[in-house]
Formats: sequence, C-alpha cells, structure tokens
Amino acid sequence: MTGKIARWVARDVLRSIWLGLYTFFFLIITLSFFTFFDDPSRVLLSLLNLVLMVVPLVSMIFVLTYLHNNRNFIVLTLTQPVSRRSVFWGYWWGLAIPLQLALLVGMGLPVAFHLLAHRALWLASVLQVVGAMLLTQIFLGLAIWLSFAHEDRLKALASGLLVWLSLTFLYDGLLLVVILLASAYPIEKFAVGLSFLNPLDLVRLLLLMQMDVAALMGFTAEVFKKFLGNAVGTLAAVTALLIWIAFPTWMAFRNFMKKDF
Amino acid sequence: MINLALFLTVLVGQTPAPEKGVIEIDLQKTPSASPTLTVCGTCPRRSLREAIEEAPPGAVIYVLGGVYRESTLVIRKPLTLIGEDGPVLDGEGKFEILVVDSVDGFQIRGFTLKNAGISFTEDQAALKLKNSQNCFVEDNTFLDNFFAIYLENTHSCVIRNNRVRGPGRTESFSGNAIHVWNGYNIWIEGNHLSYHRDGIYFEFVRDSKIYNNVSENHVRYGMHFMFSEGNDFARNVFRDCGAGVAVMYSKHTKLRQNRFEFNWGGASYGLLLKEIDDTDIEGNVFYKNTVGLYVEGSNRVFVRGNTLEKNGWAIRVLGNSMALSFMYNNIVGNTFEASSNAGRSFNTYLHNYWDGYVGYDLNRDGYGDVPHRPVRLFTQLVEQYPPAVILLHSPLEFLITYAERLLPVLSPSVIEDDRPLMGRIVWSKSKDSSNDTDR
Repeated sequence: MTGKIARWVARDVLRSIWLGLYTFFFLIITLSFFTFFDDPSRVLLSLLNLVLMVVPLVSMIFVLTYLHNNRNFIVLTLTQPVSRRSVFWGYWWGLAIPLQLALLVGMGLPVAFHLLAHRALWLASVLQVVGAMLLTQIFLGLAIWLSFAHEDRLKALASGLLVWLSLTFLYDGLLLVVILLASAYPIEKFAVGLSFLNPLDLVRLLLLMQMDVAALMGFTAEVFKKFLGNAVGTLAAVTALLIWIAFPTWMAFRNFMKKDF
Repeated sequence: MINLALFLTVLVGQTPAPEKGVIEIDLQKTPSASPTLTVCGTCPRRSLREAIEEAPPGAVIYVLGGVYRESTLVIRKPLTLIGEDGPVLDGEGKFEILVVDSVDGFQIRGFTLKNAGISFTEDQAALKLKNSQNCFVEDNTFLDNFFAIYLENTHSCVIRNNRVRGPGRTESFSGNAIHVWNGYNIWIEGNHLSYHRDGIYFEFVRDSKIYNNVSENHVRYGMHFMFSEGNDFARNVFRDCGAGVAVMYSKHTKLRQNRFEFNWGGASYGLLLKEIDDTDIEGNVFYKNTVGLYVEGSNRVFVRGNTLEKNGWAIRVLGNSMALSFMYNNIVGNTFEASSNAGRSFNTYLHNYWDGYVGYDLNRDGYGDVPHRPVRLFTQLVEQYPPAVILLHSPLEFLITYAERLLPVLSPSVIEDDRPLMGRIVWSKSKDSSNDTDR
C-alpha cells in the first residue's frame, strides 16, 4: 500500500511546475558554471554556495506547501481502509523521490558528464551531489514534521523559514560569536565539534576538505582532517547526518500516528 | 683566463671581419697554453685522483665515461675537468666528492656527481668550492646528493645549465641544491633544481645574478636568502615547494619576471619577505600559492606590474612594513585579496586591478571612481581570530560580504586603493623587459 501511495504522490509532485523550474534552474546554473569557469574547483565552490542556500530553502517550502495544499486529501485517504503508517511513508517516499530526481537531473547529470571528461576533483564532485541530496532529505523530514505539527498554514511556513534561517545563518553567527568571545583559548577543536551539529556546516566542511582551499583553513582544517581521518570521526560524521535525517522523520511519524485530524 | 681562451676559440672559428679598434687574436699562432691529460677505464691513467695530482696548474683533464669511486678528491690548483660521454663520480653515500680549495680558475663540465654522503656535523657536498674564485660549473648532473653545489667564501663564479636532483628526504636529511655562503659576483643561470631542502640558498651574497632557473619540488624553500645585497633574480620559476620562497634581512634586491607558483600548503608562501628593504618586485607571476606575497617588517619595497592569481591570500602585509608601494598589479581570482593585522597603513596602494572591485567609472577614464577596499570584513575576522576560518564559503560569509556591499562603512579601510583600474592590465611585448637584464 505504501508503494501505491508513494507512486501516486510522486506522480502528482512530478507534475508540479515548481519542481520543473527547480530542476531547470539547477541544470542551467550548473551547465553555465561548467561553461564559463575554466577551473573545476571554482565551479564546485560556486555550486556549494548555491546548494547551501537554495536546496534547504526549496525543499522546506516545497514540502510545506504541498502537504498543506493536500491536507484535505490526506484526511480523505485516512478515512479509507489504509494504515496511517503506509499513508505516512507513502507521502515521505512520494515527496523524497521527485525532489532527489530533480537534483540528480539538474546537478547530477551535468556533473557526471563533466566527470566523464575530467577526472579532477571527482570525490569532491560526487560529495557535492550526495551532500545536496542529504540536505534535501534532512529538510524534507523537517518540513513534514513542521507541517503536521502546525494546523495553520502560515504558522507552518513561518516556522519552516525560521528553522531554515537558524541552520543557514543564525547557527553560524552564534558559532562566530563563540569564536570571538573565546579567542584567548585554543578553540579549534571545540569549533569543529560544534560544526558537526549543523548539517549545513558538516556538508560544507566535508566538501572543502576534499579541495585545495583546505590549506587556507590552517589548523582548523588539520583538526577536522585528523578527526575525519580515523574511523571514529568518519562514523561520527555519517551518524550526525543520518540522525539529522532520522530524527525529524521519526518525530513527524510519531506526530502523524497520534494526530487527531 | 681559460674561459676567455675557450670563448675566443669559438669566436675565431667564425672569423668575424676585423673592426676598427678591435684587437684580433689568432689562436692558431698562440702557443697551446693547457697541457691535457686523459682519464678512462682502459687508459694508462685510470685514476682521476692521480691525474689531479700529476696535472700541472692550468691543465685540462679529460675524463671519459665510466663510474669513478675515489672517495673525496681535493683540488688545490687551477684545473679544467671535462667529462666526455658522461663520467660518473660516486660518493657512495659516504663522502664529499669534489672539494676545490683556494683555487683561482676552476672549470668542471659534463660530469655526473652522485651520492654525496649525509653528515649531521658538516655540510658535505657533491661539489664544494671554498676560498676560490673564477670558477665555471656547467652542464653537469647532480643526483641524490646531500648538498649539491656548495660555494663557501668564493666569488666570481658561473653555475650554468646544471641539472640537480636531490633525494627528496626530510628537511634534516637533505641539503641545498645550490648553497652559497659569503660570496659575490656569482652567476647562476639555466639550472634545473629539484627535490633538495632549499633550491637556492644564499647567505652573505652580494651582486649576483640568478636568471632562468627552475627550482621545484623542494622539501622546504625554492629559494631562501638572507643578509644578501644587490642581487638580481629574473625569469626564474619557483614551483611546488614545501614552503615556497622566503627572503630575509636583505637590501637592494631585484626580483623581476619570476614565477612563484603552486606553493600550496598550510604554511606555504609564494614569496615571503621579512625585513627586506629597498627592493623591486616587478612583473612576477604569483599563481596558486597559499599566500601569494607576504610582507613583514619591510620598507620601501616596490611591487609593480605583478599578476597575483588564484592564491589563497593574494597579499598579506603586516603592520610593521612602511613605504611599500603596490601599483599596477593584477589581483585576480584569489580567495582573499588582501589581509593585514594593522590598524592603519603607511603604504601606497594605487592603480591596481582588483577583480573583487564592484565600483563604477562614470567619467570613463579607466579608473574606478570610488576607492577599493580589498580587505573584507570576513578576511579581517579571520586575521584576528584564525578559528573563524571554519566559516569559509558558508552562507554567513556570503551574508557578511553582501552586507558590506550595501554598507561600505563595514569594510576595514586598512588597505585602500583610491584609484583602482577598471580592467585587467595586459603588458605589451615591447614592454617585456626580458632583454634589459644587464648581461
């Protein structure tokens, strides 16, 4: 049943003009970056800036509006003899697959074609696409959670924007304040630790470490690399990202199962 | 003198028409000055050591192909050593190979010197010239030596077209490719130096010319000099060295049309200046270095017509530098254009092309109408609080930079170019000063 609902939702989402625009936007941007910049590392860095700002925002807003537009239909589905569980997972997969497809077509394809011709920075390129997909999944989970937590459409949108703002700018702002205040202390390890808590920072640093710019980050990069270099560090990074996907999804699931529509 | 004789032989071969005021020397009629000796594996004379002992001063020793393991050879008289078919002098990882002591007039060409031994108590070299003058080291190959060419208290030497390749060991296990201590009038040209500790190392060296060398893949510095005056470096390439190029405590140096490139690492500099005064840095290219040009405690340094491209920091100037003149440079595609720890600047930045400039040119005179401040707020934060670099390329960095654009008052004004150029400077070929290095 989950599969059936997921297929139906996915088909509906894929018909959305906004998703088409999103795909087209990334396709145009990625292709033009590869055309106009001669340096693949410059392409990746420009793409990174874009991914960190646009992917979370679009995933968040798109999912929030879709779920609220289809609120009545979800309720109607629940009156049918289908389990809540399969309705939830149906929507989760149904939303995730088209969003991931959009990224794969918009960014993955141009990057893959580029990689066929130039092997330089292949790991960073792959990380770029995988990172964007992880961020999509994380913000999708957050959006589903927020959507079921708030009855009011405006409230849900506002809180979604707030979460996006916090993770994108506020968290880093606070990190900067901490670094400035504690400048008398060797703060690098602590700062690296804090960056593990924010998926955007983690994805960004993971990517930067694969590139030349890591040398500009001096001691901080060394700390990060040393930590990532051992099994515990890699495990911690993967776990942190998986928790960021699993925790909001689990909260949303719990909320959905108990919710009195 | 031997140089001159050889040089004239070449000239006479072409028999140029005599000109007024030119004295014509017919070498056919002059007595042959140099007795010659030949050393080879099948010759009557098989030992180079014996040949050196027997040879009268000024003799020419021809050494034919083969491997010669004769521990350390000490030369105390003027000699010319000419290798034919690539003779190899092997230090067997234990010895110094050739030591030239107190000689006026020494030449060596066409040899391969390899495996000079490591020592932690003295500087063992493949070729050591001490207290000597008028030497000529040309077309030799130096392989896997501790130090390769070592000049100690020696002046008036030409070191040309040698290929020097070190073992690429760690800093304390490798010496320098060309090491000069206390000398003047040294001409180093067209050498290829790689995998040593430092490519070119100068200490107390005056009035020397260093042209057209390639120095790359060294463990520490491509070039390193201290307490040296009046030297001229032109058209050299310093590439991919552990720490780039560092020059210190020196005056009146010219660095022109060199390339400093790919010196990339946590503590690498394209060119590091420490207490360098009255120096010209012109027409160089700084490409892909962690820090392109680093200036500390230096006065009256003229940085003109250089291209700084794709570096981490294009320039980094500490506050203890004064009267630095930074003009007509291209600063393109760097992560940070400039950085300084100073509160105010006593240096001049004018007429540079900064690709980060977002100003305008209403009167179309080619110069921007509003000043450019290359030190961004984020750069300043990183300079003062190094851990803040963890936010590199984050959305917050983007936000800060964007805010500066809306409110220019946020930008630190420690470095300011009042009249930045609107377009990249392209130097025409005629202005290319490749022909005006004094020869």
